[in-house]
Amino acid sequence: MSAFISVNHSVCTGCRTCEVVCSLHHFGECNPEKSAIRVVRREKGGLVFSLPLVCQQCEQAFCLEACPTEAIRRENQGFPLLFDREKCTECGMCTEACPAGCLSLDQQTHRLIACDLCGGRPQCIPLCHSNCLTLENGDETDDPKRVERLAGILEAEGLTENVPRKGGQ
Amino acid sequence: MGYLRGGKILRINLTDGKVRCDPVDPYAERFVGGKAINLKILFDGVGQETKPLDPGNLLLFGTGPLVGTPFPGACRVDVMAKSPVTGALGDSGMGGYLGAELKFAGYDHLVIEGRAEKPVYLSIRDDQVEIRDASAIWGRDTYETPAMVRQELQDLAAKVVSIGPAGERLVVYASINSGTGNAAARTGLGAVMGSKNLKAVAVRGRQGIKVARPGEFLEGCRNLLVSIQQARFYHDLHEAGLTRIHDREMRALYELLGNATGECETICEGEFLKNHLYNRVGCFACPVACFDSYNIPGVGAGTVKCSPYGDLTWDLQNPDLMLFWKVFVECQRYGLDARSLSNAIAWLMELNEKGIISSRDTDGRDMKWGSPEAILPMARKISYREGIGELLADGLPAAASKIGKGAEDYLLITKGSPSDMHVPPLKTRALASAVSAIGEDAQIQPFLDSVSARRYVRAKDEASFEEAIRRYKERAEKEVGLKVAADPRVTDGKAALVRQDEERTDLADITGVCTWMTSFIGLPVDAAVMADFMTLGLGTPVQAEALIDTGLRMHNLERAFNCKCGLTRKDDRVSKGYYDRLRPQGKLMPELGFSEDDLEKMKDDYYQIMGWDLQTGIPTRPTLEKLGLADVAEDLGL
Repeated sequence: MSAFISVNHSVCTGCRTCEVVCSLHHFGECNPEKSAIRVVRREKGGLVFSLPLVCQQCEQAFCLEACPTEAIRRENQGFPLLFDREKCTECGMCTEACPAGCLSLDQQTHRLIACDLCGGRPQCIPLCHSNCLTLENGDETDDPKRVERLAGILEAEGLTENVPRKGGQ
Repeated sequence: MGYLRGGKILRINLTDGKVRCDPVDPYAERFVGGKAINLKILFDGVGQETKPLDPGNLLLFGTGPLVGTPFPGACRVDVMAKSPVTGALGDSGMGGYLGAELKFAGYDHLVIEGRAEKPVYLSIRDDQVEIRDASAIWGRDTYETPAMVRQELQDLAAKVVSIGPAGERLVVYASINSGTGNAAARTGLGAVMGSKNLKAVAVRGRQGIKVARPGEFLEGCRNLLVSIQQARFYHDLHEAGLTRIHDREMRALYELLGNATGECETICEGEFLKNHLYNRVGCFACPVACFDSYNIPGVGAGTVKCSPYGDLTWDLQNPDLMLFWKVFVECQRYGLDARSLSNAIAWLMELNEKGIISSRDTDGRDMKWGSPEAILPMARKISYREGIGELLADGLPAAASKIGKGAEDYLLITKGSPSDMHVPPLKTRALASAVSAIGEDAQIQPFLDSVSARRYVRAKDEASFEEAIRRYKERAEKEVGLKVAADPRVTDGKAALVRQDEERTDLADITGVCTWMTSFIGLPVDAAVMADFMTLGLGTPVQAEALIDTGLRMHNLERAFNCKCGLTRKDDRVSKGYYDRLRPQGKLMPELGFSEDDLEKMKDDYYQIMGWDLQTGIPTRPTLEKLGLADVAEDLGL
């Protein structure tokens, strides 16, 4: 089973630390646009709702199936998804295919931004201030439900339009 | 774009619509960032002749070099202008998400000048800056406005701050709000924004901030987070914000003030939190997340922390937290400073009790202590300038002179700014308030003589008191070189304690870090920690001493700006209401409080520490020159 970053959004305080940690680790800069984990926020009527979106490492990955150039692949079952930016044509099919929009294209460079689990030690987890993120081993029976669960929360909270996909916000 | 900084100061003139970018570099070495750079721009741009609500006043939003990075608590925006409350420096910090977003858009500071002909809002999306029509939004509150702005910009992730009806009507206690609990609420900056016909500022940034040594910076953050989590109060803070601690604090404060009714003993903030919490939210990069959100049907929804719980209960002798919540939500929506509101209501209640006013003066309502009928309508009345609200909306000193009959004697203000009612005016607190450039600054809370004062009230005799404060005295000797500084009965060492605490907040204000990350609530962020992270971020060495010096430079610049506004030593005073307020168990305890002579003596000590002229309270030329502020000395004609 592949490891994945499990999200317990009920304790998320919305602080966005994970976003800047991710971009700082991968690109040397603090820039949520370049982060593979994105906190979708709704600010309404004085209240804040926050949901971190990050790749759930689906075994049957919608993004992989949608990719026309094999830029998204997997070495073996149970291993994290691999993203080859050389092969990526920035078509955005994967960002549309993911039910929860856990991948995005960098607005400036149009490069694919997706979670690679930092080689097995995701940097966002130890710096998550509310233990909202944990690294877990996926259960096969639970697999398709993980990303659909995130999509379901987006739907239920009316946040589908807030998700940064290709050319989204 | 250099390291850690957006690199640009965005200047927008609302009169002619001109937009310009200046580099931040010329300011960075001498002033670092945040409040210090804001101050230099204000000092250079606004003189004595400019009135606070004139188009010539500047409204500044300044971030610090650490803002936008994962440094814990690096979220602050310093908002500044000449204040309509004090006629001198106006300054208020806010947390939330605006600061990081400004940095991501490439800006360290935003400077707004002039006045738009009709209501407008600003849209800042990286290099694309627009002044947009706000006529359809004008009149809306600070909950509705961000939603409407985001809708119009078709950007659901834009960070928006706005003014509500209070700011539009130039109420001097108007705030600038994020709509989700953050506010630059003190010193009337919402009124300055209103005077510019500026309804809102929306920011979206996609450029990011470069860090010189990312791997080490992240490692440092991980280590710092561990030491924050090991701090004594962290667990409680993270679980319940400051709310449970604040509840205990209110009881301790009123033990010294001694004038709350027994009914207030029934207040339990922790219980309210437990019963009604919607969720906990925090500012950008914050490990504490001190905000409590409530969504109480039929009462209101919103986000709150810390002081307002006490402002609208104990301070008004109101034991009902639900009433607090209703009024607080109105303050948020209307964009009104809850503390100023509380102070104004308490003043009317005091005047009513003393027979100076009656229900005839207050729209037929009897301003009795704790009365819901008296408290409930006031946020709306002041924000909309209705009835008695019109009298209060231009400030309490103006209201006092209209009422006459000695009403002025009951004001609790410094430099015209309404004070925190539940701060016991011990010697350090009186001095800190008197010398503060903005009137009372709630962030300055010297610790040692406060805890000693509590021991004093509870001590059986002198010997047991001395024993109880022994460790505070030792700490005082270590920290300010004078044991007796911890004794709340004497003036000695109090100026040093105040300066020590100012130094702490100065550092936070120039780097853009929340002061709550510091020793204020027992967390470990200090000058050395900030300097280490600045070094990793900039890639060039930054010394802790240099940051401390910059803080001191900033403090001198504050004073220099006020001096330019005509303030001198005589303005470093507190209102009459401050004296003789300490009455533990109803009994006056003058030794814990202060006399006029005590205050003058402590001011002498403070000016001496600062290197300011004892006669005028103005920084001397050598002091300014030593701090690299010869240009400021020149400007002041010293």
